[in-house]
Amino acid sequence: MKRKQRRLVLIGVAGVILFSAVGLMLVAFQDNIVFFNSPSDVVANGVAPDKRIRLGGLVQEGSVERVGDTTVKFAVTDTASRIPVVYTGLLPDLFREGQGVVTEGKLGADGIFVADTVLAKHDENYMPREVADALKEQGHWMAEDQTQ
Amino acid sequence: MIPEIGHYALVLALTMALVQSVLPLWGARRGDAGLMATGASTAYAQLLLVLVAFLALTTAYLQSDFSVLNVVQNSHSAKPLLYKITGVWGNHEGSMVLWVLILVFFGALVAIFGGNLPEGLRATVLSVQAWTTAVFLLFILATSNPFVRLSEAPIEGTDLNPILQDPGLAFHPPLLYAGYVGFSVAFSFAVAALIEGRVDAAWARWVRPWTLAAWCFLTLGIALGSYWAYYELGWGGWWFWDPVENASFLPWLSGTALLHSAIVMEKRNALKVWTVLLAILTFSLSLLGTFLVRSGVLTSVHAFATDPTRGVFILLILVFAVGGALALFAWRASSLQSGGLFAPISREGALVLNNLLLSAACGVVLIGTLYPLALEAVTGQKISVGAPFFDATFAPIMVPLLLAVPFGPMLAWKRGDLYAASQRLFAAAAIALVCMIALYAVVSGGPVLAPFGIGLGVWLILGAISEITFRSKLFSGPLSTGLRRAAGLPRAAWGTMLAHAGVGVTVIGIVAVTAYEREEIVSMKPGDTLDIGGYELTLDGFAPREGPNYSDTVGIFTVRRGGAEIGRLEPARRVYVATGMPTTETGIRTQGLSQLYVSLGDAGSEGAMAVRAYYKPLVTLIWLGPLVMVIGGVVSLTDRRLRVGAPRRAKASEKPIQPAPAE
Amino acid sequence: MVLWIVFAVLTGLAILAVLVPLTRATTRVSEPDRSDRDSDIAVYKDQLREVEADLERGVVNADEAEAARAELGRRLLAADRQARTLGGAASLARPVAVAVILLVPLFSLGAYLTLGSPNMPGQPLAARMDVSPGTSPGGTPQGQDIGGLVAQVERHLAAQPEDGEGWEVIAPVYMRMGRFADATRAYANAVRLLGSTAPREANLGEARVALANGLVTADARAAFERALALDPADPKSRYFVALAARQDGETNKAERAWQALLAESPADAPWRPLVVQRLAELGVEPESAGINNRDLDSRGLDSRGLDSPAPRGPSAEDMAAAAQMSAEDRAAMIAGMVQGLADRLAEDGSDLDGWLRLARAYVVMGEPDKARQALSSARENFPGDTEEGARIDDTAKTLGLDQS
Repeated sequence: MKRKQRRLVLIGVAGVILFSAVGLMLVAFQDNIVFFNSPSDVVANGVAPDKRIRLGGLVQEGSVERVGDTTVKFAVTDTASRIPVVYTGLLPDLFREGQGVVTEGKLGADGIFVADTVLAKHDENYMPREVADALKEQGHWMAEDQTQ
Repeated sequence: MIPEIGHYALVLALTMALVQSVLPLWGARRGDAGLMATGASTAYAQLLLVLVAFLALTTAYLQSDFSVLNVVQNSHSAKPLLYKITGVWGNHEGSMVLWVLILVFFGALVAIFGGNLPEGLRATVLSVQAWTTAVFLLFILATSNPFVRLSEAPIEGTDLNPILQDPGLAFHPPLLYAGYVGFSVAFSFAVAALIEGRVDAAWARWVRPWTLAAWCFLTLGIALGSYWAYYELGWGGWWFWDPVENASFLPWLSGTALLHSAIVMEKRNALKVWTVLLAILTFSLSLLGTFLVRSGVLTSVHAFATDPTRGVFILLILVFAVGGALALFAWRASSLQSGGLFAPISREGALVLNNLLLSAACGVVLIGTLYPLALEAVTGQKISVGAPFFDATFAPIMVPLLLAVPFGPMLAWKRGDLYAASQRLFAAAAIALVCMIALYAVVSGGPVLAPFGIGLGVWLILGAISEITFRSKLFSGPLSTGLRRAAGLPRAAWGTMLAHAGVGVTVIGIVAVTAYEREEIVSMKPGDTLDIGGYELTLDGFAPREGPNYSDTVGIFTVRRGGAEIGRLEPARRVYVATGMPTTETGIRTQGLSQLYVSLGDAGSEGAMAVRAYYKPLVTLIWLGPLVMVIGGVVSLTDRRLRVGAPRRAKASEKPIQPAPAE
Repeated sequence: MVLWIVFAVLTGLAILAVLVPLTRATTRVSEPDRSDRDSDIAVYKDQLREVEADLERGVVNADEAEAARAELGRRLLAADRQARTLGGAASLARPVAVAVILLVPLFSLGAYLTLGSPNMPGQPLAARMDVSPGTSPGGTPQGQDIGGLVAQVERHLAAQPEDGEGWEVIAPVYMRMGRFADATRAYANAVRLLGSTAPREANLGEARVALANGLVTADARAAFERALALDPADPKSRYFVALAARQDGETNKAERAWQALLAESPADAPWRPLVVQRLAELGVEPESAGINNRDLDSRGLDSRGLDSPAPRGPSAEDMAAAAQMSAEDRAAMIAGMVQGLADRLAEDGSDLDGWLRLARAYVVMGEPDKARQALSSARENFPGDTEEGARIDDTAKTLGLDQS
């Protein structure tokens, strides 16, 4: 093979890999990106069924209810709207009523959000950033008990 | 007094770094031996000074000197000794000092082992290394000074975050940093080559071992971090595609590519420009990792620096380093002579394919990590790009790479014979295929792709072994001769084999756990029994247990297999007294290569507790694989061919005057 | 003095690190071209040897080996051609040496003096604990006093761990110092050695609550319940049992308990504002009418704790209350006091000590930006190069606020 041909082969292989990578990413971006929503977003804009979203807000006080051994029902609120959530599995250590939470899953046709992941990635004084932002947007930033 | 000595030593180190940034480079341009010789001695001086600063800070921690703000914020007089020491780098300021300490340590190593480098190159490399050091020292002193004092010292400090009080995590950052910072040497060499306008033959010989050493540290650091997340977080996951994890994975991917392209450069004098670019990109990704973790732009447990001035400063460093180096690259790359030719089917060709695929994988992970940040900055829309995205993009790119790996070492340089290579790999391929089919027939359930994945791992391991058996002609002729020949193979060949086999081991572990894991989440009362993966777990009861700074509620499980008791598992819910922070302590029992993994959830009604139990087949392979890879790297490092300084040691001592370190 | 000698030694070493190679190497004539070529040749020779080794092992055949040898030969020639000819330039050793001797100490000391606190001695905890009260040169006399006293009592208790009075004395000190684990241990020992009384049990419970960051744990609750069994009117225990109810989500029960506590408390009881605030958090008005009527005998119609917000100045009463509160409540109270100070200074900025105290408080509360703001406001109030200005700058420096 001549030098030129070799270079063509190299460029060709590089091009194929580049295109496949970009293609893969575009497809994956369409299917696997999860948007963050506050309960008000969901109420206002609706969510297509079977689309995975993240729903974040505060766990409404008094809404946590255990159904069976490991299934939990609770409501996520941003003080303006509330969405009921059902989740089967272990709740994270820091899941508490009145505290911030991020759940991931799909909104059912009955308006109940079926979560398969519940995150409470924060310590006593810290809200998940998305939740804090969403609450501020609502103008309902509630200082919790902790003064910090 | 001691904190002030440390503070002054840090400032003086900055002065030395500034001197080193200028004089040796200037000397190299002028051909002035005196100026060039200052490079080595100032490197030693910096190591000494930063070490003094680091030890001063450590002393302040050990003595609980609460007149130092950093100690107040991150220590407590009642903390166990080990965590007083690790507390030094368990916080932002201290960890940056550690970062710089490792940086100047590598700088001093370049000075020590650089005796056989062309003088001009060595001087330039040391100057470039000093730029990085100076910028980071400036960053520490300006925005993250660990020696800030309090005139009214409190009586007691605030505790270290209890989740960081763990031996695994205590050693995770130093390893990771040694990896990140190790790539700075490759970066300095790359920039020096661009400044010099030529790539010496010695260049690649130098870049490869340094990259290899850094890569070993990074591999260990990532594996350790993964295992920590696995047993500490209690979710049973070992990799979350969390931005912080990606931040360490990106330099690993491009560092792996660099490692391979440096081989081509060393052996064949080809791919010079590409290797220089990769060296720049790898360190840039290390800096990006530092930026992502340190600036607090990510929502993550690791982001403990939330002061925006720091983020802006690191961003400036990033722009300066990456932008500057890439501009230099654009300007000077054409002056680097391109080297040897090779056919597409050849060892070089295989390594190029490796580089292309690794770069593509790196690009995909990079975009997946940065896209949410960019989107939020531009549109305010918040998204999360999670595991599904990376599974869908990263895996398809890695599969062809892994399939191709065993072919690479089998091909000859310059012009390879794919058919001959395939013949040599026939046995490995056949066995892997048999494994696949057998697995498919035996195991019901699990994804269809799982047997394929396991087969891929087997193929990688056997392919790596085939190379050794072929090169030593192990099976042609008497076995003893073959073994002798095998032992006589260059250690680099053994290193390659171990590293590639390690990848196979990891692949098997990942696939087995992903496909065949058993998970049960149930509510259990004392006396209840749970069947999982052929084991019976009986909950005997709950017991309180007090630790030095926490109290546990321990669930005591008896593990039985076929009725026979084989051990106990003791997962716990832990509350740290100082902060009241609850955490989960998992109970893990290793059975062969597999593990039983139990964590406790919330207390339910009537003395029951939610229990999450996993049977994780072959899960330990996920971390044993990287260990094998690192052993391969170390074996390869001991190869005489790579031991820098060896070929010209005799000559170096004949030199009329050696630059002497100032003592 | 020792400090400056160490600085001088370090600086001297650093300067030597530059000067020694600089002056020693000037006698040598640099031959970069020879050096470059030598290193290249060494590398190629090595590679040539490896080609032979590969040939021996049969990794490459004779033809391939020959090709490799030819290529290495080509590279060797190329390296020869490429070798640069850099002339040995006139030595710059002297001017550079002078610059280094001058600039290195100047820059280092200059930077250090703006950043560091050379006059501040190190204060290892052990040394501070050993000093007898009041004699330490650094730190606040008060802080040293407490530290010294605590150390003394601790030594005494280490020798005589069965001294219940000792534990009782030190326990509230621990509470005030935030050493809640020690406080819990001390109160528990006091209960064990001196017998169970309502205040002791209540204090033990409070220490446990503080330890758990304001959470009324089962342990703490047990202590409060023991206290109430001994004295059903004990206010602290009643307060915390109600708090426990609230934390369990039994808001109504908590509200009832707090209302009852309020109703039965004298109007100047230090816990009143706290209970009122708790009720306010539940969105409940204190049943003021009933209380005032019942309180007629003790304080007339004073409803200070009800109609006006809780007093914000740090009065002695508040300090006493703060010492009794849980950590969480104390944090809230401190925040309120700091806010009060800030408001007062906003109206009248002539109180320099007030400004410095405010800045320090903000640093302690982890709000360096506000601290910086406070100091710059102070500077506006005390412009010019005065003694006050210097004090502000000193404070900024010691708080680590002046350089970021």
